[in-house]
Amino acid sequence: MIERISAYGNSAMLIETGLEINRENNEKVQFIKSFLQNKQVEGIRALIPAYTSLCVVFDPLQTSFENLQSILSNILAEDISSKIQSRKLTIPVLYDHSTGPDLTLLMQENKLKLEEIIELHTQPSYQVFMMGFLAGFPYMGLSHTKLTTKRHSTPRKRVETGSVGLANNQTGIYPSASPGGWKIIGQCPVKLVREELETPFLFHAGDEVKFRAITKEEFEEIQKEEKNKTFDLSQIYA
Amino acid sequence: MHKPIAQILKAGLFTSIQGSPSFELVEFGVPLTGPMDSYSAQKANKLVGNPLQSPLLELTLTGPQIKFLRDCKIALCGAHFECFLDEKLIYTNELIEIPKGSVLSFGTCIAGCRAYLAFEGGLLKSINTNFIPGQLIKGDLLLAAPVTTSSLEKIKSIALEETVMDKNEIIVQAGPDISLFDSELMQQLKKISFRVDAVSNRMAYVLHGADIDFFPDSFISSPTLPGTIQLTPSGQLNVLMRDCQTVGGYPRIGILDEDMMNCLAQKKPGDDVRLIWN
Repeated sequence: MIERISAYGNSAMLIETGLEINRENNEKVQFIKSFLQNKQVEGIRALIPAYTSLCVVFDPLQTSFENLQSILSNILAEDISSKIQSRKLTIPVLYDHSTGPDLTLLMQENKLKLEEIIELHTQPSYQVFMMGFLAGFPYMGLSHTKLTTKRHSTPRKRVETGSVGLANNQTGIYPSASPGGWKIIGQCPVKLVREELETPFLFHAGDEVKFRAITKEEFEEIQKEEKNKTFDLSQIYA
Repeated sequence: MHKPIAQILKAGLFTSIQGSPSFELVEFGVPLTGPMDSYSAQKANKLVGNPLQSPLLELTLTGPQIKFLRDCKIALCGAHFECFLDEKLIYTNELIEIPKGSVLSFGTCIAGCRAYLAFEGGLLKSINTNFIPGQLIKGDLLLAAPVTTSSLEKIKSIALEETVMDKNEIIVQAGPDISLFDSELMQQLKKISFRVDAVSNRMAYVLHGADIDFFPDSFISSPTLPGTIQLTPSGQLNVLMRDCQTVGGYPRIGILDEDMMNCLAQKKPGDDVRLIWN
């Protein structure tokens, strides 16, 4: 379950679950995170999950590296498969040259037709491996090998809010406009930063995600509903 | 609605409101934020009788110009600026009574890089008409929380560390990825004097001087905390600061404690620092 535990300064611990980005290593991260949450250990300030690692930030006045280590030593006995319950999200995307400025480039580089890109991107069920880079940005994988692509060597100066991008074997969505290097193939009209939610972001690490291709009309309809605050989120959380 | 306590007449290089760092949303990629030099910020709050983490102004190298719209009490700590209330020179590390209508201006930054201006009661975080997240601009209005029966006496008794402005030795602890680096490389790092690059900001300090052409083949992005020293493929060191991203793809070779982060936060572009590996 745990590959390595190391100190990260005086008030944090880094737990690593493997040396490769894949579903299994990331599920271990999510599992260890919920294990520690359920134990309600006093003095834990934050649990920050990434692809294959979890950072435990603690208050050294309330707990210690050694104490956390001994709590974690009980984790082997737990059954990972029965514990993980992830939310399932379906995300509408308009794959179109107006919303996906890198579609043409990707079609050339990967020798694919637009319909094939859409087919390949909407086919898999992705896992949100981690959040970061921008507040609310979900790193998801793994994308189909035929869609594997490099980041732009010079990042684009402005990537629009909601842009859906590819980088290596991963896919992600920009929660806000920002400079960025991912290859943009479409746009999601649903806002990722949502003040009305308890944790104000659409995605959580560990979520299962599928993409659904939508028409320009549907895209504009959702945009309008988002503007009027009438969009029903239950369409997303199936 | 409270009446504004002050207005920004000139923004200065980078003036922002900083409060208590928050871990609450860090797992979603929201930076912790907070004062770059937490001791100086706490000291300013202590002088005006605020809880030590109360939101206050952080000023960087070129100070702002501020007009006070009400009578109030302030304190200025951290970097040593030439500082004037109307025409009169005022001093850091003191409680200052401000009459309504007066204007605070800053001249040369003599030592350090960041100063903290605390208002009695503490500032409220998000109120400005022209608010760009983090950075205040000309015309912004500042709101202060109402002053409650002061806990000043209690707060006065708290002992605080000092940030040393002219210290250039930064003590580094081993980071979680130090095992990726061999002892020869570490020996090399110990001999180098680094220079603070001009792009350094609240997200990261960039240190030049290392000429290291070592970078692990594959490094998987992993959580990062303020204080972390990353080695980048170009051989420079990034010291992550309070607004840093929450995950990063460079190996974490070292980490600074709170004391050392405060110390580094007072270095300005062009300053030289030595890293002492603990």
